[in-house]
Amino acid sequence: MSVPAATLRRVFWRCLFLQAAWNRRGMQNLGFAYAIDPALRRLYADPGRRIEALRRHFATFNCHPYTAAAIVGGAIHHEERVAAGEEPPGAPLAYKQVLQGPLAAVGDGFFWAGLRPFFGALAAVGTMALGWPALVASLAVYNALHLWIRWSLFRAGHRCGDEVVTRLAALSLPTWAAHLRKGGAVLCGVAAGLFALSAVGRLGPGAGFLALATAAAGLGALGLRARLLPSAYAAIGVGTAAGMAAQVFGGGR
Amino acid sequence: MIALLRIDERLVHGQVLVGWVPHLGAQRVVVADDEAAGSPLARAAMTLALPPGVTAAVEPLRSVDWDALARAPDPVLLVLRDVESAERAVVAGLTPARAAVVNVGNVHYAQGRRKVTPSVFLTAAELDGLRRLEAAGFRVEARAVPLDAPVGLAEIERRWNAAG
Repeated sequence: MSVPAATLRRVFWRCLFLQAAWNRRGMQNLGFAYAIDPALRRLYADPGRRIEALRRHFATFNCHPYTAAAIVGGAIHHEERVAAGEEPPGAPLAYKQVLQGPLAAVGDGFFWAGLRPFFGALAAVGTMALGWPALVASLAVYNALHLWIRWSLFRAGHRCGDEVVTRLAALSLPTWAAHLRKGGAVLCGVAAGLFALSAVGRLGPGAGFLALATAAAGLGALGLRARLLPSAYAAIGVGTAAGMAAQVFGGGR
Repeated sequence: MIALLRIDERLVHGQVLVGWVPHLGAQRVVVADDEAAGSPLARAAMTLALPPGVTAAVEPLRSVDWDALARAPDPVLLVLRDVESAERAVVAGLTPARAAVVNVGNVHYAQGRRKVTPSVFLTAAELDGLRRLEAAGFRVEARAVPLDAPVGLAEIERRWNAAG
């Protein structure tokens, strides 16, 4: 027995609201149950079995809202087998419990600490250099990208079940995240340099020093509270220098 | 050296890898958990999110070599599932000299548990377990991520009693 494509799309749409009923006790449990419900309705014609299936998805669940799509897909994979009598009813829950932590870590590292800051920095630099269309373009690309990745993860989870882990490992997201972090740091440095020099152009050298001192103080505060890798400091330095050089040789704004 | 003993129901996740691993400068995460060690899916999943240069091992609690971990030249982050596992680790040979701090990160709500911090809920038996760990010389703290202020045992007890 398998869930039809239209129902899968409906479940995916509901996945986007995973955190809408976030609560301290069950965390994303209500959002998860709400998302998977259309699939359970398809799989269990008997109301008793359907309610039993829905109840097991009320167990505490918390994951990254993007990578959780893989787990929702995989939970449907297992529910199809439970409905067909091929697996015990505990299989979907075990799958969720094992994967929620590791996939949350993948999502936090790649999206929250890699892709999103990178696009934020890109939007900042783009807007300073090219104006508001760069901001809109950065937001559009970021959103298209994460929606596409979420849909791919959801489908991979549904098709492969446990094998989704191997698929994910092959993407080496932590390595990409490290590159994105360095790229983002360079862009932040470029933004700082552009900002300092546009301040000099508008308000005289005093404003430029003030902007640079503020940037240095911010960097120092960052270094005291959270340990950045040395490469991140190097990237920020190189980016700042590049931004200043671009401003000086480009004639400023 | 064991830089931190972390109690976390979700084992390896973002708070551990994005928060604690860089904060401690750890290059190795050791998960001591029978259930995870017995599941190929869990073992594969634990390695998914590791940043470049960080390794993870998932071992049954009884086969962890506590002395070797304590003697390792690099900082090791040790992850256990619950308070009971931490007590089992002590029986198996973990001492305060080998791991000074017991960090309680995530213990989810369940029937009979009372809220101590937004991410830590404890039963009476688990609170007693933490008291025994502190009495044995460990420094017990409830704290999800490095930037949070640590909550010591006295404050944990006060909040637990107030939540009753």
